[in-house]
Formats: sequence, structure tokens, C-alpha cells
Amino acid sequence: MKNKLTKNIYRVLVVASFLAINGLIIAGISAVLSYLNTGADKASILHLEEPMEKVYAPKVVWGNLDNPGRPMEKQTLQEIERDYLNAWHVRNIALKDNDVYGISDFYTDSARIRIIEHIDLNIKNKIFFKETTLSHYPELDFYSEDGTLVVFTDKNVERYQETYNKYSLLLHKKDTTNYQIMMLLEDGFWRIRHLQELEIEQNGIQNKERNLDSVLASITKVKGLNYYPKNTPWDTFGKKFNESIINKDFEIIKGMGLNTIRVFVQYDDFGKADVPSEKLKRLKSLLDLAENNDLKVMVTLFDFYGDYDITNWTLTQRHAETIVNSLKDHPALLGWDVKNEPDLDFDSRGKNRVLSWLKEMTTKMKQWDPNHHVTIGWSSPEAAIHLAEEVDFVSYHYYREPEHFLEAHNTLKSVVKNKKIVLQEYGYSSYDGFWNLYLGSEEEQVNYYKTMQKQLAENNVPFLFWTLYDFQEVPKAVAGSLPWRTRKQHYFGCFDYEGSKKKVFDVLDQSP
Amino acid sequence: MRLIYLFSAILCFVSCSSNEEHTSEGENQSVELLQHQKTYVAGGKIDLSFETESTSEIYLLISNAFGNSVLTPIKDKNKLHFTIPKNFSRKTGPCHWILVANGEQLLKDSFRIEPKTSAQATLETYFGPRSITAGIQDYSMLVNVTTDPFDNVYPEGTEVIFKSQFLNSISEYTVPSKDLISWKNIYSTTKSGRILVNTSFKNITSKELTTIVFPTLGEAFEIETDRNHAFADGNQIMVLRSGIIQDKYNNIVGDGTMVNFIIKNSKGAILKSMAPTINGIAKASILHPSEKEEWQIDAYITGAAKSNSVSIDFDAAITDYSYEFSENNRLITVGPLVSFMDQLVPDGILIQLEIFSETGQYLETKKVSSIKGLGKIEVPKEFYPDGSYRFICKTAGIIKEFEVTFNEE
Repeated sequence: MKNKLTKNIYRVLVVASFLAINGLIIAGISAVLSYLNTGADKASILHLEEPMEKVYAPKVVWGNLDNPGRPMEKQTLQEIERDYLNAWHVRNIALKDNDVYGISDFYTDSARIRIIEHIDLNIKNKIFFKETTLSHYPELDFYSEDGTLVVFTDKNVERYQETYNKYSLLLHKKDTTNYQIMMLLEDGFWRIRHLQELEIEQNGIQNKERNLDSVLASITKVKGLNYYPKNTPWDTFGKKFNESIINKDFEIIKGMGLNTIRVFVQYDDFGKADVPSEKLKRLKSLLDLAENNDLKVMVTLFDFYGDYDITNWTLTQRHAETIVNSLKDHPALLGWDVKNEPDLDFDSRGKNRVLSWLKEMTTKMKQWDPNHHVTIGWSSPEAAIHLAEEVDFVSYHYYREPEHFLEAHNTLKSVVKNKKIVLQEYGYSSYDGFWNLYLGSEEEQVNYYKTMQKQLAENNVPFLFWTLYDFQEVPKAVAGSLPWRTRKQHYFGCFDYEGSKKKVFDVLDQSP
Repeated sequence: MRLIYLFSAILCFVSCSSNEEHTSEGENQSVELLQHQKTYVAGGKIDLSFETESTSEIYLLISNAFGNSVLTPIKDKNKLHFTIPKNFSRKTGPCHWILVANGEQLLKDSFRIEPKTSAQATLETYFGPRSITAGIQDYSMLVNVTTDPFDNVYPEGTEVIFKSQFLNSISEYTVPSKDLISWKNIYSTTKSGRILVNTSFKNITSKELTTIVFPTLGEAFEIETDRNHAFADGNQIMVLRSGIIQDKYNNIVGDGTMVNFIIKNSKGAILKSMAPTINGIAKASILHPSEKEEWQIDAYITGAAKSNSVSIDFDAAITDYSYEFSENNRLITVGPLVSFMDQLVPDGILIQLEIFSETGQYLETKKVSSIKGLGKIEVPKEFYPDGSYRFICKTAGIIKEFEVTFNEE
């Protein structure tokens, strides 16, 4: 009996090992075959141009193109610009990753040695740099008759740089430098041959004169709300954009005796560095409707943007520049809010990183539109002390107990002294349900606003409350997916889902 | 050599004396730069030393046009020594440094590095376009960059000698550099040939570079024809030949210039032959016509030049021919075709027979080529039943018309 069992065990083992060995052999053969079938796609031999996503887009403005050599062709200039920026880009990446990938495409043999030496030294010393250039103002010095050599001076190259020593930030700085560059056309690429820093006078780009007195005076009279349409919250400018709905809402807002609305422009939705004209058209038509209803619009940019990394500074700047330039002359524009509640990203992205980005963006926006104010919508009065010097007036949000409001407001006021302050968001949800133990009610909301409006009126605090409507749908990106957080978000309005007035309407109605 | 030492010593002295005071920004972290040399020569040893009481970790952030780095000091009591690495000490231009402690900038300044002009220079020359056309307008451009042993560009105003040679003349120019380069246009000559150029600086010279001066566009030219005889035998080949085609500076146009010979015959049709030039002469061929003709010949270099017009006549080689019927008239034999010496014509003369019905309706054209002077055409009964037909025979431009009746019953 025992003998038979052992025999069976042996049988099973033999059969199993036979199957296993066969399996392994087949797997091995197929691995070899599939390895032999891998390799570059044959089409890659052709070096076909593939459209790349924009990764680096500093501002480039060519100055004088007259030169004693050959007249510059428009297309060649574009190619030179493209390869020159690529040269900066690959170098920025090389300094960040300490890897020379791509350097040989945009630097000639002798020039790339210098970069390789730098990288080698930085690897040895465990150092890396995050840097980006923000603007270039090149002027052509020379373009050779055979079209293969070009010399130009790149003036006022603005560069932001962070130095990391053994993986921790050592220093961050911004500088402006002038360079003279000689590039050669080699097998289809313009490559940097000589790069020379010039010691010429820094005639930095003149900041435009800003005349904000009248605009700032109007800030103190701001009475308004944060606006999203009833059926498309957090998607004002999407496919369901409807002028007649917005116009009706604006008529209601005007009827309430309010004079200002705050709207949100989402970074991804508005196409990142390349803003689609369709979106701009919708934003403009919203401002037109506001103008028709005597409303001013505060435009908040970079909603749902949360990276702040140096590598996409140039992209965010092109994004903002496009929007600012296309709206800066609109009569309904009140001003710019750079970012909604950026202090909430301090923990995840690093305070320094967020503040550096905001500071640079604020500076740039002031240059693009010198005639409107720039502010930042901080999430609390305590956070609003950041960059108080940079903003034209201070904005903050307050969702805490109304009894402590004045205290917090006055504390902020004493810190930022000479700046005007706007309460940019506040409000109370009338949600009454399981998730808040049936403790809320429309009466609670009425009481909240009564207390708040009284304080605001007595202290002349400009305000924008949250918001016109209760929302049936709130995207996950706004308050997450936890019901005790999101449910509340649905009931901040002074009109309900159906569009009929809630009890709080009478408190918020400012019409005489 | 001594002069250079003396000069650099003076330079140091001057630059030191013009230096401003460096004071530190942090109060408890007072740092003082110990030497104040502002200018160095590329490739030399550069050390920065500071004196400080601070105990915190101090780093030197250093940057030039090509990149940045961070240096750690060698401490010697209260002194800090930084040795500038060669990738910074060998690159000319401003070299910026920032002394950093605890994320704070303590001191900040820069020094300048000059090219090492005492060592042998390297000349980098770029020349192009490498082919130009003869005349007074076209030119090549010679660009020169003078660099030191560390690949640094010499200062602005460095004078470089440009030389160019053509035939017996050698020209020489001195050109000061500006915007990293010095350059000169090398203008074309009216004679075609090669222009050799080079540049020199002090005792070094660049390699020889060449541009080829090609003849410019051809001017009006003559053509002639060459043929064995004047008979239109459809067999001989006539040669169309241009004279030597030259440009306006009497340079023979470049080999391979395409010449188109356009022939207009007496019926207004255009015949064409073409040939590229060799040593300025284009030689094209064309077959004699097979009937009496009058040709008007012109030649062109497209977009550039036109020849004189040549007129040429061909006499008929075949003056007449006979024909006969056999096999119940169903086989028509044309010929024998004889040429100008009563010899049988070479094979291949086209014989064309047009067939019409009794009522004059066109039915068919039959074509054959002559073989041994004869052309045989069969009119099969399967297609052409008994009856009367009219035939028109065309051979060598001679037209004969006749009626035939098929009646086999």
C-alpha cells in the first residue's frame, strides 16, 4: 500500500516536472523571440517631427534684426529661436538631474564639454539646480551669407534659480543677465558654439507706470458674491455655457443691489500654455453681460492648479499673459486674483515653492496689466499676511464663527496697515441632514449672515459672499468625496435647487 | 615675458585699488573677503579666501555663463579657502559668487576672467557659400573666430588678417573682431575659377578654404546642323550643334548646361531634342524626316539664352511608287520603294492605307512598315465582303487613290 502511494507521488512529480520544464522552455523561447522583435520602430529612421507638448515657453521678443550679413528669414528665425530655447531647456534639465541627455543636440562639441564638466563637478559635490529662464529679448548681430552661422545678443535674460546642496535647498535667487551667443547650423540643428556673458549695463525692462488710485477707491465699495451658474458649478465656461442663463443670474444679482462678482478660470480647462480662443470668447462674453448689468468682475486665475514647480513657471506665465492681455481693456474688469487659496498647498508643495511662484506671477501680472489691481485669495485671515507687500489689496476667506470675525479681521488689519482688505469669500451652509446630525437649518444661515452683515456694514468691509445658488452637483476636486464634507457644499446659496428664494435672501438683499 | 608679468602686476594693482569695500549683511556672521583681485587670466589658479568668526556651515555658490556649482571651503582656523575649479577658471567672462550660510546670502560679488592671449591662439574659420557665380555681385563670406587654448573668444577688436588669392593676385585685409567674430565678404571675379582664402593671426594661420567661381548664365549663341545628305529618307541622323556658349564675361558655361533644340516643321508640329553642354558645346541628334520637309530650328537655354534661327530643307527621297493587287485583289503590295539613287529604301518606311466604303464612309486605316522595299497589306474577306471600296495610300508623303472591287463568286 505504502509502496503504491510512493509510486504515485513519484509519478505525479515526474509528470509535474516534465510540464514545468516544458513550460520554462516555451517561456524562454518566447522571451528570446520577443526580445529579438523589439527595437526601434523602423519609422524612427525618418526622424519625423512629432508634435511635442509645450514644456518650456519663456517670453521671447526679438528686437533689431538688421545685421551686416544676410537678411534674416522669418522661418530661420523661428528655427533659431526653437533650438536656442531647447538649448536652455536641456541645460536646465541637465543641471536639475545631473544628466547630460539632449545636450549634444543643442551644443557643439567644444561647448558641450563645458556643460559636462559642470555636471561632473555637481555630481561629485552632490549638488543640483532647479532653474528656468522667464524672458529673453534677443537682438541679431550677425547672420552669415550661407545661412549657417548666427551671432545674437540676448538681453535681460530673467532667470530664477534654486540651489540644492545635498538634497536640501541652499538658496533661491533671481537674476538678470545678458549673453552673446554664436550658433552654428549643424545637420539640421542650430547648436550653441559660444556662449558669453556680457557685462553691459542692465537696462531692465521698465516697469509700466501703474495708476491704481481710482480702481482701489472702488474696492472699498465692493458688495458682491462668488458666482457659478446653478447647473454648471465649477464649470462656468464649459460646453453648457449659456449666455441667457448667465444674463438672468446677473439681473438677479443686480436686483439684489450688488455690484461685483468673482469668477474662476481653471488652468487645465483654459488650455494651460495655449489658451483656446473659444474659452476666451466665453470669458469675454461673460464680462460683456456683466457690463450690461453694471457689474464688475474679479477674475480668479489658476483654479485647480497646484504644481508651482519651476519647470512649468513659463507655461503658467504664458497662460496668464494670454488671458490678462485679452481682457485688460474690458470695462467690466475689476481686477485679478492670482490664485484661490494657495496657502492650502503649503503642506503638500512646500511654502517656499508656492510663495516664489505667487510672487513672480504677481510681479508679471502687474507688468502685463498696470491698470488693474492684483490680489491673492488667501483661505484665512492668518494666511493673508503673506506677500502683503506684493498685492495691491489683501483678500481672504472666512468660514469660521461670525463672533470671532472682527477680531481676526482687525488683527490682519494691524499687520498689513496701509493695504485695503476685502473679505473675498464667506458663507454658511443651510445643510440640515444626517451628516451634521440635523443641526443646520435655513434659520442658522440667516443668523450667520445677520451677524456677519452687521459687522461688515459697521466696519465698512468690502465683501463677496458664497454664493448665489445651492448646487445639485459638486465635483470631487472641490471638497473630496467624503459625504460629511461634500454635502455641506451643496447648500451655501441664497436660492435653492429650484431657483426660489431661501430665507437668507432678505438678509443679503442690499437693494434700497 | 617680463613685460607681461609687469603688466599683469599693474593690472592687479589697479583692479585692487578700484575695489569697493565688502561688508557682510548678517551682523553676527561677519565675513571678509581677503583678496580683492578682480581680473584673472583664463586657466590660472584662482583662490578665494575669507575671514570669519562664524561657525555655521558656509558654502560658495559660483556661476558662469555655462553653469553653476557649490563649493565647500577648506577651513584654516578662522579662514575659509575656496579653490575655483577649472570649469570656472577656464571660461572667460564674469564669474559670480555668493557666499551662503543657513540659506542666507552673506557676501556677493564677481570677478572677471580674461582670455589667455599669451598662449597660442586657435583660428576657427567658416567660409560659405562654397560656390558662387562669376560677376560683380555674388560673394562668399569668410568668418573667423579667434580663441585661446581654453576655447574662449578673444576680446573685441582683435585684428585678424584675411587673405584671398585668385589667379595671380593675392589680396590682404586686416579686420578687427566685433560680436565674437571678424568677417569679410570675398567678392566674385568676372573670370571663373577658384578663389582660395585663409586667415592669420600673429604667427598662426588657418587652413586653406576654397570657393569655386562658376560661370554665370550663358549669352546668345549660334547653332548649326550637320547631315550626310539632304534627302528625307527617315533613316539618317542629323546632328544639331551649338557653338561654344559663353557667359557675358566670356567664361564658357558650366558643363551640363542643358540646351533645348526646338524644331518646327512645315505642318506646324514641334519636334524637340536636347543635350547638355560639354566644354560649352551642346550636341543633339535627330532622325531625318521621311518626306519632303522644311524645318525651322531654334535652341534655348531655358530662362537664360536663345540661339539664332536655322532653316533647313529636306528633299523627297522617294519620288514615286507603284502598287499591285493579287489574290482576288485582296492582297495589296506597295513598292518597291526606291530612294534617291534607285536603291531600295531601308526597312521601316511607314505605309498607310485608308479604306472607305462605296458610299464614302471611313472604315479603317491599316499601317505597315516596309520590308526590303515592299509593304504588303491584306484585306480579308471576313471583314470586307464583296463589293467596291475606295483606298487612299500614303507613303513618304505621296498620296495615291484607287478603287477596288472584290468579286470572288
